[in-house]
Amino acid sequence: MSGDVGEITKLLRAASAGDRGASDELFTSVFQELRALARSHRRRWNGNDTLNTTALINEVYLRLANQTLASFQDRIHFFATASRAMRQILINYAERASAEKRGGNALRVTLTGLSLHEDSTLEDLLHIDALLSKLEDTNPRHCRLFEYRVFGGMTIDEAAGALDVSPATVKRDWTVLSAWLFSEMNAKKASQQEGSAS
Amino acid sequence: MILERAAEIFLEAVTLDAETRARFVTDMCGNEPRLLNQVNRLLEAANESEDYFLNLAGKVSLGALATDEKGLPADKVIGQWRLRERIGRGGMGAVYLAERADEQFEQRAALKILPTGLDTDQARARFLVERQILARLVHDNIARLLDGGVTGEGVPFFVMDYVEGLPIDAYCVRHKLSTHQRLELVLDIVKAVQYAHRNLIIHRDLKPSNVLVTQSGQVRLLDFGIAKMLEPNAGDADLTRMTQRPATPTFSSPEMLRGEPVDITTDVYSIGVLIYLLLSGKTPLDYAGMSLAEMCERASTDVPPLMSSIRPELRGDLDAIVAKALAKDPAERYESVESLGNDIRNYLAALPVMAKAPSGVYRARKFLARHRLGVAFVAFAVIALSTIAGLAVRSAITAEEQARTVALERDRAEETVDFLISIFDSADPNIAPGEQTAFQILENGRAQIASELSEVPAVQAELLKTMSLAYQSLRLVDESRDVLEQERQIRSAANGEQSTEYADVLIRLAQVTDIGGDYESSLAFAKQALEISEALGDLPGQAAGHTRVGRILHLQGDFDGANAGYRQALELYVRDYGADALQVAQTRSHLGNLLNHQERFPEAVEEFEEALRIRRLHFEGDNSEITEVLLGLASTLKNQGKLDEAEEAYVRAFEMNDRLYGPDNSYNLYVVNGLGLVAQERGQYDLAIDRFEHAIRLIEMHTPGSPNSGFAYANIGKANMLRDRMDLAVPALRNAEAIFEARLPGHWLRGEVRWRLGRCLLETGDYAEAEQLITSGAEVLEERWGSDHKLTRDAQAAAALLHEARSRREQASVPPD
Repeated sequence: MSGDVGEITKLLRAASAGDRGASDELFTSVFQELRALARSHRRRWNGNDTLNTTALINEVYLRLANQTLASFQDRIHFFATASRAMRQILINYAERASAEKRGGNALRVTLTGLSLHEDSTLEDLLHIDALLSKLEDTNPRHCRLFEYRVFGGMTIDEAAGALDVSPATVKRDWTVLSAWLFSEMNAKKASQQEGSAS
Repeated sequence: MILERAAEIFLEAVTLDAETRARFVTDMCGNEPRLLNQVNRLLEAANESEDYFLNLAGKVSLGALATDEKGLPADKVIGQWRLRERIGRGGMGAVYLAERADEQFEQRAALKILPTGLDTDQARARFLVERQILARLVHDNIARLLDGGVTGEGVPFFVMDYVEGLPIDAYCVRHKLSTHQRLELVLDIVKAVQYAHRNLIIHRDLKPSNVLVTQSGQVRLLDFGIAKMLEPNAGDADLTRMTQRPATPTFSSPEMLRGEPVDITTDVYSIGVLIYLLLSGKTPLDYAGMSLAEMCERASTDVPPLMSSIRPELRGDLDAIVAKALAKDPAERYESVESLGNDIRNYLAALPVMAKAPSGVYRARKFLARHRLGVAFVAFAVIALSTIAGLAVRSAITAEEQARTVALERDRAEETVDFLISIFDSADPNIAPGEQTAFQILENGRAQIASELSEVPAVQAELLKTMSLAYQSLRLVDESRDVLEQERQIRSAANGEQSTEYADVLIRLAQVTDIGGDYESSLAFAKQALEISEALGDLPGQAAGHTRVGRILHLQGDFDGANAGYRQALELYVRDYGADALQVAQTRSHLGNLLNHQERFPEAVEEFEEALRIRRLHFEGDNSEITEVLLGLASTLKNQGKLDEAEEAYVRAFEMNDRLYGPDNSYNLYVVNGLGLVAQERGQYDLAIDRFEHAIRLIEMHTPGSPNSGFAYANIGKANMLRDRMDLAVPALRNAEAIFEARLPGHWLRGEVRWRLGRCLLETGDYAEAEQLITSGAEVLEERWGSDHKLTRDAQAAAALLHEARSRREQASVPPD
């Protein structure tokens, strides 16, 4: 067979060209692969419960792309999609964990590997998600940047490639964005403490 | 929200040391407390923020990723169903045990629902496809669809039979079933899958956990989550193209692992793995710890050990059956689960099996691997076997007689294999094995057939027929014709000239001479065959004759004659074989091409669509008969001016041919030419010429001297004229004229070539030759198309131009007074 590019590469190209169906499909496959891989990691659990999301996404990339070398653009697009999928997975998890903690909906699902120090992280995640959803309307580029950096583990240069802006701009945006989000979270925590004190 | 100015001040400030920073911020914010407040908060956060976020994802435990998607609360009521526990998680949905909520009667069921985290358009569409597939399948061995709908939150779900049972492998072990009993269970799987295939559905995920056996011993097939629907009219993207990459590689066919398009034989392969597992206790190939790339490699190249190497009592037929089901190349497998089932039944009834005895096959396969021969040759061997084996079976009446015949034929087939191998082995020893070409081997075989099989003319003739097909697939038209002439002599002596066999060889001769461009001989062969069939009252033979005659008249430009021929053939075929027969599709496709040339486009499109419909009933996936229809359809669409649709159909045909035959295949000659015409219609002349030249390369590569190159040169000439390159048009048109003169002197297109050539010569001032060419060309077109036709009018316009130029010249030559 001549000119055989991998399925994932075809999807990436169609998605980059604005094909909505391909984009959805890509997201679904990446989402499922990430989880499948995480499950297989857990099966051969080696005592280290934390995980390196960047390494995981890389591994998924190699599996899906079947080690055929896609172009730099394809790669960037893949990591962008993976960042979004990772956000979705972590947020789903946080939502569920917090619902279970509240005991509200009587979820009969046992959470495994939920350690104590994680508690606040999960709350933070939910808060971040809410802030990002608000930001989505006014500055979607900032949302993407955050996803790429935080959930996808992209470097400044990679994020610049994905967003098609200069690394200098990305660096500035990232500094402001992270400071702003962090300050918003601080503000919320402060108000919660006040609330519980009174 | 972040204030723009706050961000600017912050970015500046964050680079300064503490002291300067405080002053800078106060200066910049002046008396705007809100601005000052925000800048300060940002500065305060900046110490930790970046590190915090960059480490955030890593702080979440592996559990977050590894855990299930959001579960639904138990006791939740969906439609008429109350959820109990979760019983499974498919790739595309969560499955719950459910009970009727109205409690009118007790019913347990399995409810499958789209997981909330995954509600993309694509996942939803895929989910609905599964529901639709299940709705279509009502079979004792397939879990039934009971109900379906959408939850209050708008999430789709459906309800199926809840099957209480064990996975088939566990069941066999638990009940200590004999080989015989295990095969009986496999036959139930075959029945269910066969039923699905008949409903145009491929399961694609057959594995023990999807094949449950109930307490009462009934097989139930589950989980059509990645099944594929073969919609005759669904040209849209395959929703499962990514997710078809399975979680259980062990049971997946090599092509599926590689992510290539699959057809029903992928299920044949999976059933082969199931049989292997159930009988030997092991899986054929071990993929433990492999990456996908490694698995693909292994699945594509490693031949699994024979089952008899694990359990010696499985030697022989069962080894052969499984080997045939597990063939790497889908074309080498059983062509349907039905034929796999038949072979298992043959085995159980102690009848001979269809699967080739391993010894010969393995020897042949090893030989083929060693000699790196083409597909043509494998096809040669397979066709030889199947035609010979099939011959006598059809004429046998009773089952016993059939069984005996099968045994007999199998022996004969084995002899044939041995014979073929003897051809291989005795190939010229001076040639290194790797350099042995398929051509040389065929030549060698031809000599041996003549010398060694003279006392068994029936076998000799069958082998010659097969060889002619092999030559044809190598596009060696002359050799193919020679072999058929030999076959004709044998048939004449053995069967007599008034026989269906003789008529049949004539039809094939007509076909091969048509490919070679010798229309005169072709027509003579076809007419002779037709006469014989009429004398014998053989309807299909007559239909074949009419089709052939129609085709040649069509090529020679006699459209009315061709139309009559096709219509007669169509009527005979429909009468004898029914409206959905492949022969009907073939004739409709010819008729479509003709109607296209007759400019009866809507009728042509109808014929093509009907032909496509019929062929898709018979073939799934890539197939040369599909590309043939696509080609005709594309050409009609192009002629109707629907250029985008035409191009799309051409490209589909091109890609399919490429997959079927590899790059530079001769089948794409017509496709490339058609793409050139589309480009020309769009005014992209350079591109058009590139494509026509590509077509000529293909012709020269495969059928040098064929009149087809005349058409391609004519196209190049026309395209050059359209882009005002008369100088380049002249040599192309001269080439075309020479080819037409030699091969198709009476073809109307020659008229167009001639006037165009004349028109070009006008530019160079060669009036005498120009006039002769334009006038004669216009006459040909007028005779063929009438004086009102666009083609004729173009020629007449050229004639007018000629007169104008000539009168201008005459005026110029009158001396001024």
